[in-house]
Amino acid sequence: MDKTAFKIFISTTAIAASTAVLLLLINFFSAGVLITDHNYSTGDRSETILREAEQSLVCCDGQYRLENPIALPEDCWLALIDLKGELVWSSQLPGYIPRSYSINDIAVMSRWYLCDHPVYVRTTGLGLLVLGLPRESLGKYQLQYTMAWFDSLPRRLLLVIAVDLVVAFLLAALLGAGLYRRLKQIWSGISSLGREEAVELPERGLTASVAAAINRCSQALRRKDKALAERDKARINWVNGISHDIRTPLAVIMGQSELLLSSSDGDTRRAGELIASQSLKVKHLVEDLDLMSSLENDMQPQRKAPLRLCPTIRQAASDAINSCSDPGYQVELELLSPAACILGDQALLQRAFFNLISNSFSHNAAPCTLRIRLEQLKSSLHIHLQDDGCGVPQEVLDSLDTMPGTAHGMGLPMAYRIILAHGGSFSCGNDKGFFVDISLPALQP
Amino acid sequence: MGAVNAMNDNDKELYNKKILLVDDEPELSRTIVQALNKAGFYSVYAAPDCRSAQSICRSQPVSLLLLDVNLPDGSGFALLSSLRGFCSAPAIFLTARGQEQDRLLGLELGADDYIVKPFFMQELVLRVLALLRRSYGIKAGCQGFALGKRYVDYGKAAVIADGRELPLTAKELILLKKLYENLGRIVTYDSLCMAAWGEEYYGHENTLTVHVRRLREKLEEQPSKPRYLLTQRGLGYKLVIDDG
Repeated sequence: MDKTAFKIFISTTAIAASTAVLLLLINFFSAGVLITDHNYSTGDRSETILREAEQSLVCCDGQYRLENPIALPEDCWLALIDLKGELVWSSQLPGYIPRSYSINDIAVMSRWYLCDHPVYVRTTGLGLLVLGLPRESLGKYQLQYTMAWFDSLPRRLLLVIAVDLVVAFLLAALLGAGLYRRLKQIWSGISSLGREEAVELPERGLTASVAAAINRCSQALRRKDKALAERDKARINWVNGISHDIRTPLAVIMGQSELLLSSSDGDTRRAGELIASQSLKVKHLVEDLDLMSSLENDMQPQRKAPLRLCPTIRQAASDAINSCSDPGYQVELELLSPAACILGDQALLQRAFFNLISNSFSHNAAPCTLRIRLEQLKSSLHIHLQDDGCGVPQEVLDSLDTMPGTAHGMGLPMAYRIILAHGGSFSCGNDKGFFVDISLPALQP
Repeated sequence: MGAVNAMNDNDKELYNKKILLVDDEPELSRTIVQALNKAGFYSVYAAPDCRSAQSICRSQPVSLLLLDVNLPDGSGFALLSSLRGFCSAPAIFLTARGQEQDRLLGLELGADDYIVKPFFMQELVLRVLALLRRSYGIKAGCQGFALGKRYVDYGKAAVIADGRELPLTAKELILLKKLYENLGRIVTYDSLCMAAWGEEYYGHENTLTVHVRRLREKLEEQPSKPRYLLTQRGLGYKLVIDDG
């Protein structure tokens, strides 16, 4: 997260800073262009009028006149002041313009205004030619700088640009840090959602709407989790209830079958044997149901300990044969690694192997032989089970990882789950009977 | 079955112990009482609820408690706690609640054993016997069983064949008892070795084979063609008593 958010922070800062610098440069050059834009200056036009007037103005017998007419705008005026300060000629001159000027008046007027008229002057042989522009049509400013100012101008410009750059970067970083903080919150919220944790992000700032959406999503997930937990609890209670209700009558049936077993009458004894063996099957089914339920809800075996696998397989095989009265069902063991150890739950693994062996017996007619081969290859134990029966229907093989709809057919999915819960792999199929390949991580001595 | 149980004074004392069974299922209650009676326990009292159980416990000394957990007027756990005030008899919980936490709670409350329903009555009787012996320091009586024309005498630690006593070593006796406890069922090499040598039995498999060979020499008419102590190849051994 930090790396990505940091990238976003860097990108945002760089984009903001670049934009600021670009704007600064555009403004800087724009200012230069504006200052030098003569469209808004009357300087050239005024100079032209003055030059034309100078060339055209002649004095004949003390009388001044224009030899050639000049295009003087209507609201402008022209005047000629002779060397004595007297206004000797004019054109379109307003009445309130004075007729004589002192040297001071000339000094002030030539630079600024005359009766609020911005004026341009031109010295001619005849005197001072004055062009008056309309009032409030022109702003006149005088800029004067020392040469040292001009000398240091490039340096100071660079300094200003540098300061601008620093400020732009600082502001962008400040902006980016705020964004980074918000993004980090959003990121952490989404990560928490992924981990199915409750999320409550502050809904403010730039990311308020995103935070609100994440909060709503978290609330919806929590509601869903709660509903699922309640449903699971109801299902566990139901399974526990069913299991509880079956166990007590089954105890009576098993007890009574034992009494029949001790009868002196052969038929009664055989009936007792039959009831006992069938009750045992129901007992195993109920135990499977309980175990399946607990595996469904907590896949991790609770009591893992270092465990030798061979005795576990031997015990499961013995139990399966003991619970089966027909001598036609046999198990042949080929345990090539007798000392092989794993970290596992002995009861669960024994149940898994018992289920696999019992399945072979209960779904095949006698005689049926199941061969179990165990071998340690490097860091894993490989167990191959193969019977010589009629195989298992494809739909059973296809639904190994789903909880069966009925208690019947639970043995194989449960064995599958137990092996997977021990970090192992489980594959099975039909090849001259049913086979199962299991591998479990070996525990190194 | 060719087993012969010779009852001595110790056994009489054991079987005279009063057992209180508390279970609200009348059919199961009757079956358990029947099984205990058949095993030789005749002082078995059955109570359907906590109140009756307390009343029986107060009126007479009880030597062993068999308690269901779910009772109509309370739980078996609460009943045991209340009985512990005046009755220190060992207790076994018989329950359909097989969850790990239930077992732990029962054992924490001072129960001596915990049997999850359904169970074989033979197993219950054996556990009752073992608990009574352990709790009251009663040694196992001189017992034994017949194998064809031969008789295994636990007390003498010998096989009696044609009036001759063929002594059994301690290990042989342990192995034979283990096999007899699982009569007709395969007992794995591992279970037998564990019974004889304890948890650290690994490596004793070959010694076990030697012991079994010697046992066959004492038990079988033709040790090379065993009839009673059978090998289940790759798994273990099975003791069968062939009545025919």
